[in-house]
Amino acid sequence: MSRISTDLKYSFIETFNDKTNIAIFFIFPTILFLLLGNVLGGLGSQLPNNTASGMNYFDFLLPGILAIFITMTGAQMAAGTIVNYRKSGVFRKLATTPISNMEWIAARIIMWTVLVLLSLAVAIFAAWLIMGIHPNINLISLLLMVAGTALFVGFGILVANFVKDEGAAFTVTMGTAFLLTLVSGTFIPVETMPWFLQYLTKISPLTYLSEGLRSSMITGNTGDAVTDLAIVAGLGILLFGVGTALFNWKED
Amino acid sequence: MPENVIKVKSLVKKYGDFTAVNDISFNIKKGEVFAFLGPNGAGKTTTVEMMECLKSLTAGSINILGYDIKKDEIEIKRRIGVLPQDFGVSVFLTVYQNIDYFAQMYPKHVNVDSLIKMLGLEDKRDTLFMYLSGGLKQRVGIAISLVNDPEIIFLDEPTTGLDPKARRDVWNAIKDLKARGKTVVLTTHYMEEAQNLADRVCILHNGQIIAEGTSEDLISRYGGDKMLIIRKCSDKAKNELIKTIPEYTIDGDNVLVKLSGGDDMKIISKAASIIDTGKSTCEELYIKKATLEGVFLNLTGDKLTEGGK
Ligand SMILES: Nc1ncnc2c1ncn2[C@@H]1O[C@H](COP(=O)(O)OP(=O)(O)O)[C@@H](O)[C@H]1O
Ligand SMILES: [Mg+2]
Repeated sequence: MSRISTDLKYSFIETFNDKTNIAIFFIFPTILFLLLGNVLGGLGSQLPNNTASGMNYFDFLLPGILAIFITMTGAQMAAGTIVNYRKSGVFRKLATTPISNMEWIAARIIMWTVLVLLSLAVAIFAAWLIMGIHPNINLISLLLMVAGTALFVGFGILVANFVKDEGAAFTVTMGTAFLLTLVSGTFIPVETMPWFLQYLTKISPLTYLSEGLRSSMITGNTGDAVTDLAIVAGLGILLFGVGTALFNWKED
Repeated sequence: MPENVIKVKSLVKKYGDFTAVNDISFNIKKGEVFAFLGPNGAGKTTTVEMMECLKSLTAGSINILGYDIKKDEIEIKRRIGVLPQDFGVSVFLTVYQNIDYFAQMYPKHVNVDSLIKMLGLEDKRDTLFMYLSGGLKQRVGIAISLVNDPEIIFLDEPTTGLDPKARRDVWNAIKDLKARGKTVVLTTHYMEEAQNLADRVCILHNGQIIAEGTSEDLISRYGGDKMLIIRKCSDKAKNELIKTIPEYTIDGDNVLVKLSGGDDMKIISKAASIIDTGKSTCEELYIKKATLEGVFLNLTGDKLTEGGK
């Protein structure tokens, strides 16, 4: 336990000693929200009342942006850190000490999840301050954020098992995030997309994450949110299980 | 007779079809500095990484402090300290934070500031690792390898790439460890390093042990001859030299002659007279005492410093 808490403590210090991380976690999500909100907000206003509940486009956008941010940072942090530590010999050193790779990954999952949640909090605060949106933060939406983060962290760990350098890790995680964003009804309501994209929508985990967040935070549709949570959590356990099972820091 | 703290029998490591370590056996005694000497690719890192619990064994056995490495990895890890080749730590943590991080990985650990003091890192205590020079990074690595007060310390090429001053600092740190009664297992491709630091040297070549013993012992057994070195010779001088001198080795523009007593003075004066005749000149002539370098050359026909193949 003390090994996990030590890793947690120093991984936070490490993260905040790197000033670019502050930009990534606290400024980027806010800017992303403001930028997309402004650019797409105008576009969105041409599609008024595009859902049954008649929410406006900013309401529609916020959960999607949160979901995209979870997708990108969760996957990128996990894959990037693992690939970097493997390449720079940190794992080689760690593997000579009593900490096990599962203890390390457990500590990092906690830390990556907390970081993502912190930056989501900043983005939500910005949304409230600037756009006047008051999303409903409840247990379901929190659980969705945690499950979504675990899912994409699991995906990042999985990716790190197959790529050798940080550039490749970045390309794969960001490329996937971009693709998922396109098809997951984040910016464009699913019903307005062509049928073949609607099919991809059904298999993208991001769809369930952003719809679940939308249902729980904006429309108050708890039943749908719980279903989405179950799907995200299930996929999360799967990806996470496979990713960590393959994760090994010895270099045989 | 000190006890053996490491016992290795018939150790083999294969990477696919390639055999990197080919059936080697050796023992390491408590309190000694034991050096693996060999060129790049000899199998030094592979050998020590199997002892450090970093690589699995293809065949053979390793026993460290009475523990079998295949059964009691965790017991071994608690009792050894390792400076891996090309190791990394967090570049965004300070010297103190990095050492403390690793110290907390062990149930029992030494005081971090006393380690910082011992390795002369007080000035850099609160500097981020990323801003340290190569020599300082290496010293932090050694400090980290000592956090659990290990009985055995493995140092894989601790001075490769360091400038002479930094190298001397690391050498002093190693001598310090020996003085404290620690067992040190070292790898190096610098023969001076092995000669200077090691109580016993194990010469590795293509994954096999080709000689093992104290430096003096190895030199008198295998490298015992003094060498006459004649450097930067013109082709003409080279031809003249090899016509006159019975036993020689050519190394580029250099002619190396083994001096084995008896005719030594005769050979030297002959060589001197040849390089003195008009245009067939060489730049330099000197006598080199036997070293481990010579042991390696004699046993393998290869040069130590320029790499194996
Ligand atoms: N992971 C690996 N996969 C394949 N070959 C390897 C691997 N690691 C080392 N080798 C090869 O094994 C040989 C011994 O390498 P190494 O133990 O690193 O030698 P040294 O430390 O003496 O330079 C070299 O030929 C090297 O190319
Ligand atoms: Mg090596």
